Amino acid sequence: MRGRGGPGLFLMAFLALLTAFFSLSLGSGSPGPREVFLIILSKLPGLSSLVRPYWPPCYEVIVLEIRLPRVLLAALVGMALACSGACLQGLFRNPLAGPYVLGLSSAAAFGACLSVLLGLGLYFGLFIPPLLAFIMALASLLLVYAIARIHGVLPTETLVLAGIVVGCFFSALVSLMLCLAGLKIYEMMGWLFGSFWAASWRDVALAAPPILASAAVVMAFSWELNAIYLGEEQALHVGVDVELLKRVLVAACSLMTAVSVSLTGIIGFVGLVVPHLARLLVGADHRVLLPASCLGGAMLMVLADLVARTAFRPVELPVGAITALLGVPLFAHLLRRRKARWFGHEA
Amino acid sequence: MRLEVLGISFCYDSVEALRDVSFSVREGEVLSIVGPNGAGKTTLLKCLDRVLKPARGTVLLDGHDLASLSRREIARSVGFLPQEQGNAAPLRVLDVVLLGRTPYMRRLASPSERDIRAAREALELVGIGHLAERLFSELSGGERRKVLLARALAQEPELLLLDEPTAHLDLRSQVEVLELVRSLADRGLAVVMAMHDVSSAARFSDKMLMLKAGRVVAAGRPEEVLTEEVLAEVYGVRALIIRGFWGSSPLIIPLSPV
Repeated sequence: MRGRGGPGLFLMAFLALLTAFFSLSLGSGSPGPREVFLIILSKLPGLSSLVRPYWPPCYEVIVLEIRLPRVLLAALVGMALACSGACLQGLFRNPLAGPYVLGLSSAAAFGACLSVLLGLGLYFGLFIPPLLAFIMALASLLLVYAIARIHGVLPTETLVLAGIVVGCFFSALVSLMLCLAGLKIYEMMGWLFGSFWAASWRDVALAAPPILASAAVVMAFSWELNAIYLGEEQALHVGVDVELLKRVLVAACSLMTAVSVSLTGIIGFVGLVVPHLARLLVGADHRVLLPASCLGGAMLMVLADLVARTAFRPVELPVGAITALLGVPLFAHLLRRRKARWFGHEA
Repeated sequence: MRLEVLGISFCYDSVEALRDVSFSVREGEVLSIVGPNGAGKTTLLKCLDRVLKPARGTVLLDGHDLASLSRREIARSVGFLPQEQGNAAPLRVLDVVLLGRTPYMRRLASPSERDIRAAREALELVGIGHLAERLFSELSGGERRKVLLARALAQEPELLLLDEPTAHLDLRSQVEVLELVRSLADRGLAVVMAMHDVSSAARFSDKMLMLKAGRVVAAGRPEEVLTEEVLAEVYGVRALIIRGFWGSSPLIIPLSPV
């Protein structure tokens, strides 16, 4: 019953893999597509005997230790942002919702900038800025919940408003810190723009479990998201426990967003617009929309990161700007073609 | 199925919307709730599937307190046609009707053959089988109401709650829907519907409940409830009541404000 969703998803998955391979094959250093293919082949269990390494050992380091974790982290973060964007747009029935709508990004930015300002780096083997960013993001979520909660329920409008207000508060604190930062402002700006330059296998290992688990939880509720698309009371009438749904989904989206933001900084656009792109391509049914958003987010992010690191080598461009530069023309084109039914309107 | 409502009251913040409302309906019966705007008709209906929780009083479904049932359990026995058409989601009509199968589906399961059959039957019953593949967001207001009615029927309810089932419908569709409701009741459903058109309500109902400002003013058979005195008191209107046009049910023609 997935209509045109099935073939579309297969095509997107194939394109995402192709993008990842393409991205692995380009960059500073010499390994090209042929070497990348063979190096990865040689690391697969059972296939290593088929390939005889003819490349210098540094090629393996470049592909496996530098490019591969970077591509994987970009794919994970793109997936997390797009998935939580699609979920929150459906849950709040608001096309302007995105992963940052509850103020998580500003709170995380505050945490990261604070640790930069205080000169907190590595302690006890933990890198403090991402840790503090993550803690602040979760703290802001609890604050938003506390503000929005009325008689034990979380009304959607109040939740979104509380998120915006809390986000503004933390943005103001970030602005203050930028003024006080002196030369540390460059370190802060690097974080605020968001990038994958420091990606390591450790980051991938930190990001993958919470992001994959949260995305799985969100997708497990696709049907309920379809039900709530028509309105909260409409979902209640067909037997959906709406308050439980909101709690579980907001928690899952916040977790994957907080993990992404704390590891890579603030990357805009993907979480807001990829779900709309996916909706235009495969329709609004969340059973197809959510996987399509995940694949689309991963693909766009990997592509944007590729452009960010190769376009003006050795200068790295902010990946958030590239996501918008790549995504906006595509989005504008699709919007013009199908603007009549791109999102539901209140009747 | 027997629905018993025992002395329920409901407040929106400080405003009392329902006060001490009691009635009962059983399978085969259609009960209409009538009354002027703001009388509490919609509030009462929403208390009957626990979208709203009454401050006092009890709602019993076959003797079980509604408060002790889960949302899924309620949705398996109670179908609801809301007055609002809902967000115009760009979902396929068949998928919207399939949402009515939610209380029967397991997590991560796609709708089964049986669910799809139930949804298609519900669409045919409402007479819109031809709309199955259209997008819900592209339908007219009246068509959407019918899709939502089909969704409620796909729940295979024993109790059907209808909030203004004829609103947004053209003349023919109004009669079609009310005849469908009547035939569903004759096949064993219990139906409670909020109605503005008192004549249609009288024609298709076995019982009537007249509300004013959240209280029951009159209850009983339509011809007992609809009298000149009650209409004047509740609606503030002088009305001509024609009897014997459709059997015993009265036809009401409002003449002038009292």
